[in-house]
Amino acid sequence: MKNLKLMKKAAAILVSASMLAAMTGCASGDTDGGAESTAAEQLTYDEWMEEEPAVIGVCFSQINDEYNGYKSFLENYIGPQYNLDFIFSEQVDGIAAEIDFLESCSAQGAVGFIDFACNDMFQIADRCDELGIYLSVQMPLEEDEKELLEYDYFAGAAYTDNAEIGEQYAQGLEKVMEGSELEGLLLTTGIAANGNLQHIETGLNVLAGVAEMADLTYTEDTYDLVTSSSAIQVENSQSLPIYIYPGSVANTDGYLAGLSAQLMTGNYNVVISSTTSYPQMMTVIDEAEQALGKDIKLISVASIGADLQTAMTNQDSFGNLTLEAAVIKPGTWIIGGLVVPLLNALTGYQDAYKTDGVSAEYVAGCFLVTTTEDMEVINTKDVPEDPSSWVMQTSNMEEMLGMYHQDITREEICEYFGQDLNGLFG
Amino acid sequence: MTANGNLKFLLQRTGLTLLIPVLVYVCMHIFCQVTSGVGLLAYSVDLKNLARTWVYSFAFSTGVALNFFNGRFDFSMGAQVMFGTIIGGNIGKILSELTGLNMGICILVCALVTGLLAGWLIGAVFTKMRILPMVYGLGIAMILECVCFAGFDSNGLILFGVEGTGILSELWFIGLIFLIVILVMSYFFSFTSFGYEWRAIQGSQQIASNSGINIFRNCIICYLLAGGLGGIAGVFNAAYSGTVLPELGLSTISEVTGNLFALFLGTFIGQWSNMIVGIFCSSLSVQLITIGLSKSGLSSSVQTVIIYLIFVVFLVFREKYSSAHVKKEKNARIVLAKKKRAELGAA
Repeated sequence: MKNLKLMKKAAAILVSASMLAAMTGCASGDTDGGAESTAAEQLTYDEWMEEEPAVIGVCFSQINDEYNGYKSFLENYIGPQYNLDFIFSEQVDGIAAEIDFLESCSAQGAVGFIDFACNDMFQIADRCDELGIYLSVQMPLEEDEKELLEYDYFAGAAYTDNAEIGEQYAQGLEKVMEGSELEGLLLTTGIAANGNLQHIETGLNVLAGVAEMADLTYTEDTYDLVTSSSAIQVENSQSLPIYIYPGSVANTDGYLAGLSAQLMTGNYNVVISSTTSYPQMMTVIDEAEQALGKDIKLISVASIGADLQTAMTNQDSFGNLTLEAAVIKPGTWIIGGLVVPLLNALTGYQDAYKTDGVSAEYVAGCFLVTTTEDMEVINTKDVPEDPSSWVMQTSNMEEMLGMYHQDITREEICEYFGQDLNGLFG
Repeated sequence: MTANGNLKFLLQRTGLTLLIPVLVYVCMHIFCQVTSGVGLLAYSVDLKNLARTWVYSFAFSTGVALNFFNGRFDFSMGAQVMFGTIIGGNIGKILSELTGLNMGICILVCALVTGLLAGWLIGAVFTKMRILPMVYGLGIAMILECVCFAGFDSNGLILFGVEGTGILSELWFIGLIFLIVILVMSYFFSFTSFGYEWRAIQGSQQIASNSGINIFRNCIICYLLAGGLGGIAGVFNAAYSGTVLPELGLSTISEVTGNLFALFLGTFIGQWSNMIVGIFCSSLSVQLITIGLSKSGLSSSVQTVIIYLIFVVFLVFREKYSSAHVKKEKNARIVLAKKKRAELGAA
């Protein structure tokens, strides 16, 4: 009886501890190290490798296959090559959990912090400055956030150019519609209404592309249309059916039913998805195609993986690809871009990440894929089992590190990082 | 009661049971006509969409009800659904590839079996641990979420484009599953000692235990059946959305709270039939509301506000209805007592 009570107590403590761990986004992974690497002097690669490994915290807002790949890239490829140990968060929801994780990293000797969550960049940047931890963020900085670049420990921001993502969508639409007529467009705007820059840029570029393609003008401001939180019909000079459909499968009850209902009106032959929810949309689109006897084309942003493979291999009822065009972000190119300014800061190359005390935003392009063949090439990239497949190779990293190019400047790194990546895919 | 009386009673009960879904359908149909210019179920695809979400909501809510009405609010139900779907579904895919059996049926059967096994294990461990069910549910939810994430390269279950899964979206097949689940669950609740004991425990766990009912055995069976229902629910959800991705951070809990409306409404409707039929009708009603609102093009926040507003209004109504019912019965007892006293006085 006494044993049973003890067991119950132990189990209760265990469950409570696991809950606390999950809710506060407690760290996992390597915890040794504790390097004091805020080097004032410039270190060569060999000198840096003789130091204790530098610890970098990595804060994820969501954990999925894509992020697992990034984790593998950092832990198994970048870490050993550049004497770095990483502490990875669980899924971090909210600023409180993010600060908890940052402080947990600090307690474990972290000298760098890569922030994918970006719940409140000012709070995190302030805390990093207090703790003496270099910070890089995977998020574009809005105008009122640019002052962050002047913070002592703000090393930089790396992200995919939202405007280019939008342009690629417009190009994708043009390519997909070659030889056929645009009868109507259903544009899913995701969380553009909540201010998501990528979704806004996508919407604006698509509407601009359609205006050019169909030679039409809109009666309302396109920014207002794209950021609408309610579904709306877009009035235009050619009376072309254009429907803005905000929300996502994850956050809207009946999202797919609403999408299906609109498709069944028969007014649309193109669906453009601003989010990566295309795997959830494909079933209702296919069913609408079959019910209407009409080909509906789907264009979406996508990440490399099984979903993309399925979507760009399977054919719909009309013999076309289920996903006819995909805009793909450059995967580990961005992740490497987040590590570069941290390494330059830690190894003492001030000019390589700050000019006149101001850090840089590293902006990369993206790819447009419209055929199974292209997709197959893309899908061979960023495969965790194959180190040679990482989009960002150490040879690319070396081009941006002060350890290899003592005189390299922030501007030169930005230029290298922003290069046309299509060449890398051969 | 005469044959006529029986028929009248049956018709009255059937009418009352169907009243709410029919009313909801009519209201939402008019709402859709006004807001979007088309009826609620104007297209054949609408029926398919309704059927898959309905069977999901029905199986899920019934699974939650099994534990909920015996004092265990199981927060892990959403995670059990995900576990049964992802782990069982992928095993089903492998099984189908090895044996050549129909993919959809293999996935459904394997998800059911995985759900049953998971449910049985969760129930068995619970009866040994005996910690607070809500805390236990949270812990289990985290474990199951992590297992789902770790399995099958974090890809979840992809059904879109998989040959043989079309059957999961066929109306006749969904109808068949409805029939089987309703018959099996009604049998369990109405014609087995499990159902009798479940109701006894619902009344008072302590009295039930003192009168010789094995409450732990009953608890394990509840978890077992809930797990199985979760497996079924998840597969139809996967058939609708084409893919089910693993989730972390206890996000599966929202599935439990999201189905509470159907659960409470189901017990209310169930007073005229039984709980299973009640949840069958309530989940239909809730899905009709959801589809109707989604057709209107309102923003997601407005849709959510409307659904939860209806939920709150329903809860208030139910409370008033119960109070009025109790008062009516009390008045009837007083009248009867007065009458009896008068009779005794006269004698």
